[in-house]
Amino acid sequence: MSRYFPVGARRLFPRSPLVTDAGERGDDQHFHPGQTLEGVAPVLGLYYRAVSGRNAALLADGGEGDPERYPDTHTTIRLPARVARFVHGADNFDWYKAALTHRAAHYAAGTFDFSFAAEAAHFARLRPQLDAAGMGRSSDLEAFFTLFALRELAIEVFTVIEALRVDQWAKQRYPGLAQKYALVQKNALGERADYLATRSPRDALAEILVQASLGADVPPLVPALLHDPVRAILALCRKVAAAGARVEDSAEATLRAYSLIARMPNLAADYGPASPVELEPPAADGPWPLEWPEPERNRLEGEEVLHARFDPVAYRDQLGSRIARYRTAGPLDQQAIYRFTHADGTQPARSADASPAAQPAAAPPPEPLAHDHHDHFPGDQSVHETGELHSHERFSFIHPEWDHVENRYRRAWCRVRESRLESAASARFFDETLRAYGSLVPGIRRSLERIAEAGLRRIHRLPYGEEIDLDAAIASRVDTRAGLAPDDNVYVARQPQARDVTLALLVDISSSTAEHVAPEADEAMRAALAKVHGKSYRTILDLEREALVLLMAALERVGDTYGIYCFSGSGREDVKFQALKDMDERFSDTVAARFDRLRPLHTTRMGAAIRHAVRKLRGRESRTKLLVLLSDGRPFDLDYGQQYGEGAELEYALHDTRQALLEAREARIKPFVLTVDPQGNDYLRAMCDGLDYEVLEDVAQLPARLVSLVQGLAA
Amino acid sequence: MPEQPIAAEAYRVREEPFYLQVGDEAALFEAAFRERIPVLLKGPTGCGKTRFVEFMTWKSALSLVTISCHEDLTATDLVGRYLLSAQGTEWQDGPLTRAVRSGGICYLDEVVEARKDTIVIIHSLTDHRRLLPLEKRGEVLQAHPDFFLVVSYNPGYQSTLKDLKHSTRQRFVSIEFAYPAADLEQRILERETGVEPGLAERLAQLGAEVRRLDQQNLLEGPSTRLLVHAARLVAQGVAPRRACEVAVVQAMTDDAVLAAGVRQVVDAIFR
Repeated sequence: MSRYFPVGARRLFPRSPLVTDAGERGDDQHFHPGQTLEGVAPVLGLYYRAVSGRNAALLADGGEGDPERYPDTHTTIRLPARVARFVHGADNFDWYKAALTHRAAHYAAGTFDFSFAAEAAHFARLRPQLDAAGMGRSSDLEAFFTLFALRELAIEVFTVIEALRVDQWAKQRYPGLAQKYALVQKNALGERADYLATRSPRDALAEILVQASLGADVPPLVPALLHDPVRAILALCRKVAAAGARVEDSAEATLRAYSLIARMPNLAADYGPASPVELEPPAADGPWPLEWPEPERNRLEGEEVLHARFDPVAYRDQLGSRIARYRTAGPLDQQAIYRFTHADGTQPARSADASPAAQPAAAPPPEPLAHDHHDHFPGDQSVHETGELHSHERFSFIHPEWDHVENRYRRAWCRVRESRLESAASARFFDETLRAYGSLVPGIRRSLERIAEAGLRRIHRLPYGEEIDLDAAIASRVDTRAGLAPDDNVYVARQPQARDVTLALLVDISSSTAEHVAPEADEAMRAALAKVHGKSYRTILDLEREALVLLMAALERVGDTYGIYCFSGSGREDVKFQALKDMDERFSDTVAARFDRLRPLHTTRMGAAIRHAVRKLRGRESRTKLLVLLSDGRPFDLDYGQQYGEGAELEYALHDTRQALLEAREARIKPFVLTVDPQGNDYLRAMCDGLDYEVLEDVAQLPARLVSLVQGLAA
Repeated sequence: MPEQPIAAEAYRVREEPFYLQVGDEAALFEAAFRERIPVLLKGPTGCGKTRFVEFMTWKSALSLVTISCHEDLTATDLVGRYLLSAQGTEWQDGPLTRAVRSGGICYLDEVVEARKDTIVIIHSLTDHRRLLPLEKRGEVLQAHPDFFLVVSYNPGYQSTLKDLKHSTRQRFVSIEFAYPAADLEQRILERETGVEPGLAERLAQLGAEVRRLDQQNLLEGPSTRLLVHAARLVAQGVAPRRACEVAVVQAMTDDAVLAAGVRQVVDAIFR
C-alpha cells in the first residue's frame, strides 16, 4: 500500500467521485463537460496578473497520464486542461480562480520573502540565526530546509502549512471570493474522506495536517496513539491561520509539525481502534526540539520508512524550484518576453537537416539539381535570349527580370505560381502562440492605432477654423452687398485624415529558415516553447511565425487591409507565392490553421516575389501602401543569372532585387527590407542603397521589430 | 438672481480644494513660481494634477485660466483670430493672450495632445523674454509680471509621435505625479467621499491591483478619480460590485476580455 511520491513529482489530481461515475458509463466528456483552461485563461490570466503583480503563462498540464508533470515556476503555471468537479459550470470556473488566487497569494503574501532575521508573529523562535549567503544558499528559504535531516519531509510540511496561511490570507483579503474558496476547499476535503483509513501513524498525521489546512472542522477518528500529536497539530494550524501570520510563522510551525510527524513510527498500519480526538483541553505548546540544524538520522531504515505520504491538494501548487532565489517582479517589457535567446552575437546553430543550398554563401551547385528544370542551359546562350515563358494556367503569372549585365529587362522571365497555403486540421500554432503571448496583443494594437490618424489636410469653407478663407469671405461679402443670403462657411482648417493603409508582407520561407535559433536558457521558458512549437528548439521560421501571429492578431483589431505571402522558389519557372492570408480574404480559423502547414521550402528568388506583390498592391486604392520583405538570407536562387557563369548569381540576384524594389517605389509603394542574416549588411548596403532596410542583430528581436516597423512605416 | 458669467481671466478658486500632499510638490511649485520658471506636471490621468493646480491657485490667490489641449487646437485658438463683423474684421484675443495680458496662472492641460506647431508659440513666453508674439497683428505682447505657465501631460498613453519636443520640455521644471500609495489613496477616498474606512481600503486595494495591469500597456490603470466615483455611488446606496462595474470596469476599457479580467478582481474583493 505504500505509495510514495517524491517531491516535485506531483500526484495527479484525483478525480471527483462524480466524474468517476460518469466515466464508468463511458461518457465523461458529455455528462458535464466542465470548464476548460483554454476557456478561462485569457480572463483569469489578467486576474492573476492583477492579484500577484506578476506575469506568468498559464499552461495546461499534461493530464493525469503525463509522466513529466512540471511543478510551477515563477513564470509558468500549470493547471488541468479541464475541470469538471462540479455540476454547476460557474463552480468549475471558481475552482480555477481559487487555484490562481492561491498561487498569486504566494507572491502577494510573501512566501518567497522568507527571512531568517524576521520574527514570527505568533510563535517563539526555534530557528537559529543563519546566514544564507554565507552558507552558499541562494535564499533564506533554501537555507531553512538545510536545518532538517529529512529535507523532503520538511518541504512537504512547510508547503502544507504555508498553503493554509496563504489561503487564510486570501480569504481575508478577498471577501468576495471567500465563499467560493470555501466551496473549493470543501470539495477537496470531500475527496479525502476515506484517506485516513489504513494509514500508518505517520502518514495519518500527515493527512490530518493536510485536512486541517483545508479547514476540516470534524475531530478526526484516529487511534489513541495519535490523539496528543493531533491536538498539537491542530493548535499549530490555528496559530498559522490567525490574522497577521507571516511566512516566518509557517516556518516556525513547520519546525514543530515536522518534529511531531517525524517522531511517529511509520510501519504498523493497524495500531488500535479509532476514536474521535478530544479537542479540549488544547495541546500544550511544546516541549519542542531545540537542536537545529537537526542531527543526521540513522538512515539504515531506508528512505521509504523515513518519509511520510502527503497526497497533494488539487487546487494548490508545489513550491518546486521556487524555494531558491527569484528575481523580484518588475515591469516585464515586450523585449524581455520576446528575447528567448542570448544576444551574444554568436552564429545560430545550423540544423542538421538544412540542405546545402540553404547556406547563403555556398557556391552554386556544380550540377543542376533534380528540381532545376533548366538542364538545357549550359552552353546554349541563344536559348536564354529567347527563353520567354508563357502562362497557360490559372494563378500562374509571368514577370520580367532585370539583367544588370545587359542593363535591360528580360521579358517574361519568371513564372510565379500563386496559391493559398493549405490549412491544417486546427489552428493549434496560432492558438498556442496567442495563449502564450496573447497579452501583448492589446499593446501592439494600441501602438498601431496611435498612428491611425496621420497627416493633415487643409479644408476650405468651414463654419469655424484657424484662418479666414479669403475666397469664401469675399464671396460672402459680395453676396451681402448684392442682397443675397451670405454663406457662413468662411474659414479654413487643417483636419486629420483617416487611416488608409494596405500592407503586403512577404516572408521568405526558403530552406535556410530551418536553421535553429540559440536555445532558451530558462528551463521553464523552454517548456513553454515546447508547448507552442511541439519541440524543444526554435527555427528562424518559428520566430517568423510567432511574429506573424502577433502582428496578425493586432492588425485584425486595427482593421488595416493586409496580406501575408510566403515565397520560395526552385528555378525561374517555378517561383512559389503562397498566401497565408490574401488581401481580399477575411481572417478565419482556416487562415489561422495555415500556420501549422508552414514549412521551409527550396530557395529564394526575391525579385519575382516582389514584382508579384507589387502587382497585387497596384490594384489597391489605399493612400498608404506598404511592402515589407522579411528575409533570412540572400536573394538567391539556383539559376539566378546562371548564364553569366558560376559566382555571378549573387550579383545578378542583388541587382534584380534592387530593381524590383525600385519598381515598387515607382508604384507609390513603400518598400522595406528586414533581414535576419547576421552577415546581411554587406550585400544589403549595395542592394538597398537609398531604400529602407534594416538588419537584425539578433533573430529573437524579430517579432518586436516587425511590429514597430509596421507602425513606423504607416506613420 | 442669475450669476454673472466670469471672464476667463478673472476666474479664481474661492474655496480651498482638498489636496493631500504626497511629497514636496507644493514647495517646489512655490519656489518655481517665485522664480517664474514654468512648471510641467507629469502623471497618469486622474492622479490629481488638475486638483493640484487648483490647490496652488487657491494658495497663491491668483486667477486661473485653464486650456484643455486637443489635437485640433491651433495656435489661432490660443492666441486669437480675426473674425468677420459687419464693418470688416475684428480681432479677438485667445485665452492664452488674455492670460498673458492680465497675469495669473495659465494651465495647459494635456499639452502633448496639441500639435507640435501649436506648442512652439509658448517658447518665447517660457524663457527670459516672456513675450507672446501676435503674428497676425504684427505685435509682441510682454507678459504680465504675475503670468505663470503650468502645463500637464500624461507620458503613459500618448504615442511617441506625440511626445513633447525637447526644446519645449527643457523650458520647464518637471514635477512627476504618480498614483498615491494605498494608505494615502484610502485617506483621499474617505476625505473626498465620506465613505467608511473599510470600503475605502478595499477600493484602494482594487486600484493598486488593477494598476498592475498597465505595466504592459494593457490599459491605463484606474485613476483615483474613478475610485472616487465608485465610492460616491456606493455612498448613494449602489452595491459595491455594481458601482465598480460602472465606475471602474466600464470606464477603463471596451475590450471584453480585459473588462472580464478586471471584473474578476472586483468580484474577488467585494462581496
